[in-house]
Amino acid sequence: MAKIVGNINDWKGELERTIELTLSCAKRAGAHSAIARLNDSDEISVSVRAGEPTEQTMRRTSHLQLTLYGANRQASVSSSDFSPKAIEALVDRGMKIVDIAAEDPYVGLPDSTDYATEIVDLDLDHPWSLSIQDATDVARRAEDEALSTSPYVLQTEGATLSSHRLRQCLATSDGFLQTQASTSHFISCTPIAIKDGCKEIDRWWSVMVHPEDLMSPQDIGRIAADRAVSRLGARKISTRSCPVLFEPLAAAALVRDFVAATTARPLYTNASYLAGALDSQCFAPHVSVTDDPFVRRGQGSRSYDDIGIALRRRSIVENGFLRGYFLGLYGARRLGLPVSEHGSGPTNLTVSSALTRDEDDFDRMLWHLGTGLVVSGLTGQGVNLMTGDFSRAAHGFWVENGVIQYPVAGITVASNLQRMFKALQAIGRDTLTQQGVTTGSWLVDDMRIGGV
Amino acid sequence: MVLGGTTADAYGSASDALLSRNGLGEDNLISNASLALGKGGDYADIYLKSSMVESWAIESGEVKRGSFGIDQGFGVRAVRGEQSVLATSQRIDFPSVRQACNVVAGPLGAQASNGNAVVRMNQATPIYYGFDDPVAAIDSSEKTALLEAIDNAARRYDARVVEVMASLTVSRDIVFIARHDGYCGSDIRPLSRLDVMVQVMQNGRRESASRTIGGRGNLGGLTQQAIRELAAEAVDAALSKLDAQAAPAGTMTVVIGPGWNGVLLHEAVGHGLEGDFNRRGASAFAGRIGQRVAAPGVTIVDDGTVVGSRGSVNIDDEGTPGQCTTLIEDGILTGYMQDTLNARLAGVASTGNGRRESYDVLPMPRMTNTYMRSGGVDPDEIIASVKRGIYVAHLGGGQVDITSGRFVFSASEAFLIDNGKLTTPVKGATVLGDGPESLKRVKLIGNDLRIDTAAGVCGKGGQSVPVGVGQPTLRIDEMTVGGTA
Repeated sequence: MAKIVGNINDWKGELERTIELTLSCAKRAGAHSAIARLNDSDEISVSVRAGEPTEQTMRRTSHLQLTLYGANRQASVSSSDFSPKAIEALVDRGMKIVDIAAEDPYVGLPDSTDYATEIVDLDLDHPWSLSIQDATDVARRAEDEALSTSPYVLQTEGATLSSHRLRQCLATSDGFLQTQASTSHFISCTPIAIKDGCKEIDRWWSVMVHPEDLMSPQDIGRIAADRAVSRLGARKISTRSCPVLFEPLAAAALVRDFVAATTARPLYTNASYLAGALDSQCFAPHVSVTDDPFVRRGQGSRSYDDIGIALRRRSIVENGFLRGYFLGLYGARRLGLPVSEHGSGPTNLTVSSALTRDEDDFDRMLWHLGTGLVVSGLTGQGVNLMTGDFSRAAHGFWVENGVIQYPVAGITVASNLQRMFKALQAIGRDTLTQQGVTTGSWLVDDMRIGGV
Repeated sequence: MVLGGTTADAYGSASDALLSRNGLGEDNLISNASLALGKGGDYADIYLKSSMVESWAIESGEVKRGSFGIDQGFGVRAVRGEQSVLATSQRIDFPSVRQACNVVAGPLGAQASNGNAVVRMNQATPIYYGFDDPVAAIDSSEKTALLEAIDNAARRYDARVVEVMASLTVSRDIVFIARHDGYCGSDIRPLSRLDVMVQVMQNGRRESASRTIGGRGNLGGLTQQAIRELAAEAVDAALSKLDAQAAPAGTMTVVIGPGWNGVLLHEAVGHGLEGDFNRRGASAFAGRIGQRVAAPGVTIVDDGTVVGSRGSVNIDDEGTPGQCTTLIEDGILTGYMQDTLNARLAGVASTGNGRRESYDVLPMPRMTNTYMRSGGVDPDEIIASVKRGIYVAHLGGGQVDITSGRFVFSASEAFLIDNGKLTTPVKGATVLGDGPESLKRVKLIGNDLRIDTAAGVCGKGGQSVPVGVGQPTLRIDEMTVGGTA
């Protein structure tokens, strides 16, 4: 159980048998059509603190999700029990929901020509043969490095390694069937820096499909410690308006706000400020955003969406113009847009700017900022997608004439997403890829700071 | 809320659903827990859980989405010192339990099975919610009718309502806990939640607001009157935002209305008083028991015994009965919230705060229902006492950095206070404070404590659990407010 290794043939047949049993059961129960998804995952996760193991978890979970369709009616059911009796009861329950649900002309399977037929090998399955002891040693190396990086780091909230393998089978009642495995490996470290009675915590991590692509545990520990130490002695600044430079990690949070506003449900319920904004200008003219599902070993990579529709590389924002949404089949039908142009969710997003120059590393971006605030982290939930209003707590650094002066915390930064995206001045070459988003730092010309 | 059942019924049903049906008995679970303990372990338990959830949603006037799900499994945990080892499976049978126990015993040293364990049944304790099944209590067509009634009520209330989205989610969890020391306990946990979000439009401008009701019970007894009130409250809140001005930025006095806004306390002090962060010295409150951390008059408790509230626990996920723990009394820090691991390492007793999202994750000290007790001031007097500031009528979510103590929450509905009177509604206000500092700046405490039993979801370490929050109206001076004006 401690090792996650396996040959695809050991499990593929079993998953597909369960899926086929489920779909034939749905057919017998009178469903017009159905989609079944089976996720089967193995995970080991270990944590250490003060050099000692704290948590060691070995987890195996399987979930079957089934969408049943009647005549323009839909039900979703799920179960972790795959016995024929349980599946029959589940289908029965789902068909009762189908009977009650109101008609919805947009539900149902895709046209058969929209299914993915060419499945690209994206190199996503790299199980890590790692004993609990080995995993603990790797996590310990990250923590050791954090503790030896600075005299101010005397303790941590731990270092963690987890290794996860997911086997997925997706099938529809009209014949689409694909089974594949993917892996994800994760190392993190969370040091606490203490000086003069002040405590600051920070964290760094690496997540990769292949263990050999992971950042070394030592690098993770050192970066995490440096980040925690750099926050010591944070001050508030006075209430003012000033330019703001978002570090790549904070900029990626803004990208996720953009993704949330371009997703089907907020769009068709008019709960997004970008509803009806396709082909209008939503970013500064130098900004482009692309989505590429075919990045080898990419965190978000996949050949088809959650209903089997083929994905493709596409431009989401082109020279500031909004060219694509994240809709999926149902959302595209509901908004009357072509399915092929609108994938279900982001895969691997890259944000770029025509203005970015080779020399635009982080130091150069500080120079572009001049005098203003660097935001290295955002907290709270102050984003209103309907209006774009943005107001979140932030921490970072105060910068004068391109030089960091002191750490800042306990303040808020506020504006409106529409304004911030259109007023994006520059994007740095200091790119970071985390959770399927690649971006450099963002310079926004003017935001309102709430402080002293 | 409708409550029903007795603890004896609950034990029998849980035992039947999770044990007998799967060929397991109390005696073999306890001997397996002893096996999991190994030679050097301090504690071991087996936690079995079966869950059922049904949900319905209405949108554009029609109930188009319905879903149903079941899940079950178990987790075996062994603990030595600070080390916890967990192995989980969704297959509940004797060989799987035995295998998982062997796996967790490995890292803790050689095994020594103890065959002398005695089964002690969970005795009848006070119960804070009934054991009925909200999934079965009302049938599916009644559930959809409830959503249609909400939709109707909101649209009838004001013509500017352009969209109503409402969802009803009902679930029932059955848990069974067997420990190496011979304890067996069970709980049946019903949970209902009705969310309504309304969108209003006037002169092309859209705004929305939402409200939630529910708790541990079923919503079968909900009256038409209660439905109308819920809808009206959400619509009024959304309408007031149509005229909202940009919120000011800077340091100012903030008055926070009662009830759900207690999420402020959950963030400002609750997380910082969880036993794990304090044992490890990671919290801004660590080592401060007996010290003044809040203004006189401030008393904050974590209370797992609020009847029918979503945060309540008859027993927690380690078998400890739910209880009311005073965290801060008259401004002085008096206690932390503990699970068994942190309690043992701190040399104190568990406070019944050992909670886990499910069988496949480890328990942690988690809040149940956290609230501040009432003070003596009339809420109107509190508003009248402020020359210039912000009144927070309804909060969105919040977040805290427990190490620095800084917390933040979003004011989804707020008003300016000018010369003691509520004036313009403001939008986009984020309020930020420092936990140990801002509680010292509590100037006035209302006499109007309300506990929200319906809406709280608390995230920690990747695990979500339902919680209750509450507070009376509070005036806090010198909070940082983030707006664009």
